[in-house]
Amino acid sequence: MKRIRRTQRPTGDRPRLDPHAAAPTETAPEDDGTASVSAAPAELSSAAPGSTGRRRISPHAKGSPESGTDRKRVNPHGTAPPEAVAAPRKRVDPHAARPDREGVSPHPEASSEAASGRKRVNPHAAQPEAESNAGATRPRRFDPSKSQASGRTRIDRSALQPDAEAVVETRRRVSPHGTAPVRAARRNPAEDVVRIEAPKGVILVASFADEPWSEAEAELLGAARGLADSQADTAVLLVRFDQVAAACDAASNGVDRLISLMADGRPDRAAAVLADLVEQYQPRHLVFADAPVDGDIARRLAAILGERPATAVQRLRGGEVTCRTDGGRQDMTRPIPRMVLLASGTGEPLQSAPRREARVLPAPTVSEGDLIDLGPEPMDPSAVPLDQARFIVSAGDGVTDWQGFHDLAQALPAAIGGSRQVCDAGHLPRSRQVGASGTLVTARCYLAIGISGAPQHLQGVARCRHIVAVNTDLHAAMVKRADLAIIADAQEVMPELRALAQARRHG
Amino acid sequence: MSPADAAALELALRLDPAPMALHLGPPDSPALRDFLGMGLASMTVVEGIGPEADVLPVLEALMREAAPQVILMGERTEAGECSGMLPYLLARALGRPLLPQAISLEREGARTIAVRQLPGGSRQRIAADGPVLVTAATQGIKPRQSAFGPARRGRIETQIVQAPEDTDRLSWTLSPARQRPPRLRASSNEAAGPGAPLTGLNPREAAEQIHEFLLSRGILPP
Repeated sequence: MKRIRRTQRPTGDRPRLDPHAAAPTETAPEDDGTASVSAAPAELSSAAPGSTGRRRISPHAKGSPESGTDRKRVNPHGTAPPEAVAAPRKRVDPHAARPDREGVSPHPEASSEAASGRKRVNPHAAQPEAESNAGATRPRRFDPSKSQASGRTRIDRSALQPDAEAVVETRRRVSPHGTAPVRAARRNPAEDVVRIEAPKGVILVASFADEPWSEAEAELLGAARGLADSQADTAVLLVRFDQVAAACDAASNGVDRLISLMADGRPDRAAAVLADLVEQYQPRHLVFADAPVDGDIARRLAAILGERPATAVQRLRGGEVTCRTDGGRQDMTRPIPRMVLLASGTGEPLQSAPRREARVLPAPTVSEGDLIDLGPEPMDPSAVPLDQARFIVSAGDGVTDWQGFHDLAQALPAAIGGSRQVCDAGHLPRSRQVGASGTLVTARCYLAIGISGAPQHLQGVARCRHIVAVNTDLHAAMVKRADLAIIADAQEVMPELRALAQARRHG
Repeated sequence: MSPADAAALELALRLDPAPMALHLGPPDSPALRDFLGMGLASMTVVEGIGPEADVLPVLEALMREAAPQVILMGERTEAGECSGMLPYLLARALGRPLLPQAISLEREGARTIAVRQLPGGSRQRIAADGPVLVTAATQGIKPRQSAFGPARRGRIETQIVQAPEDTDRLSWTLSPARQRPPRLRASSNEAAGPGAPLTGLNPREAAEQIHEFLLSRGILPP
């Protein structure tokens, strides 16, 4: 059945590039080898009204006398005379040899059919006009600077959605040996962004300044994305409090909308702002981390909203949550409530999920609460209890300059720790001992100076995230264990590091 | 004696040598004598609370009747749901500000000032005016020892109430706690494992390497 095409509008009104039609007639007006070709298909994708002058024609209007168009409705089932269409579309057998093919046809015995204007170039054919390139058995590429009409414009239509980014580009085969500039025109599929314009439901995730455990925000977002995907058209809204540096990349963790605001560590204000946001966005679920700071604000919010949250959630699956109760002795399974507080390791960070929009929304105003903040309590940072310290600088037998060590701890600032030997010798109190018979530390960073790394000591630092070792012994166990190991004399490195730390703080 | 309750009682005793001590549960619990031994002349035990009871209405009524300036509690219980919601619900019901995770407490006139223990060892001073509710930090307070004499001499006064049952919880299923296996985390670029030890650096270069490492990992603020 011959397929009848609708007529083309005059190209002056709305230049439309048709990949199926004859190439020279279609692309000739626009084809000048520059980026203007990409402007035409971009018109198709842009949904911005009025920006392209695209006139929408009602396909159902009968005989609408729109000036400037000669688009006639053709009855596909009728026997319309071929003259009704202006540009007949010739169907060409792609497997037939064409008379205008410049190479050797792979099917020389096939009868050549009616020609089309589409020049196919056999990339494997012998090159009659080899470029100035020694050893040229390379496939010949089209050089648009040479033959304008033969460039085949490919339009990638897969990105054409309303409000999609105009990432459509034409892909040109450009001779690497020619004079035309090579254009990096391949569209990166990883830049596809999933957007939700009018979400029917919202999942609200709140995260706060200091991550309670590593990858906490990513875990919460993974769990929220799981909750969102169980129903269609649900967006994930991330509310970030007091984060100076973002804990994780929101867009690649499934965040559709993002609000960042500063509450200055005031839990009452944070809870009030969240209550306003809940009122505004009516989220289906609220996801928090069950940690000291996060959990306090979450519980305040639960009390304000009258919600009964699921706390210490260990599993979130199939509409049910499992919470740890009874002092850690029992697990309780219940239908998922509106608010969930996740324990560490419950959510799964998204791996290679499609990027989402992470559109920034305006931050609401933060009203006054009922608490008064009197500022941080001044305390000696090197006297922080070892089991809570985030950054520990620890001395072993290799340290002889004790004044320098204490100065370094003050300058960084870091909590002070020591190995068993230095505590036995009395250089540091026993409460500062790190190891199996001392304290097991879970710091973010452990700076081990002059510590050889006895097994019991390594046990004590097993859960530290980053370990830096300074030692003169290349084969020490601590040097093997460390993420960054420096073979140098501790007494010389400590003053230099102290100087750098002080310069950064006061400079 | 749960550490949370002991911490709360310790804070109370530092503020007031004769605080009102209230326990909701069975009066024959051995932990009650330990509380008395910390220095209480008497304490009140409220009976009639079943294991599945909802204590919030009872507690709210008692607090409205007693109307103390400062209410001190532990952060969460050790039996039952252990959601930690009770202090927040009680504070909301009574209309009091809540000072969380306090390790020390003082009063200046009508103002209560607490030092809050934050994770990472830092501390924050927060305050509120008027009647407050304070939750005690479970770690960071060293409760005083319980002495045998006061434990024996202390009086326990009982009160009987009717507590409504927590019907929501009845449909929830309980099972013994199961430890989840730790999830294998895909290593990020940072945690690519120990590199080769750096040798032959002069002290200045070595210090710069360490400094760079600390800055890049976010240990030192930029």
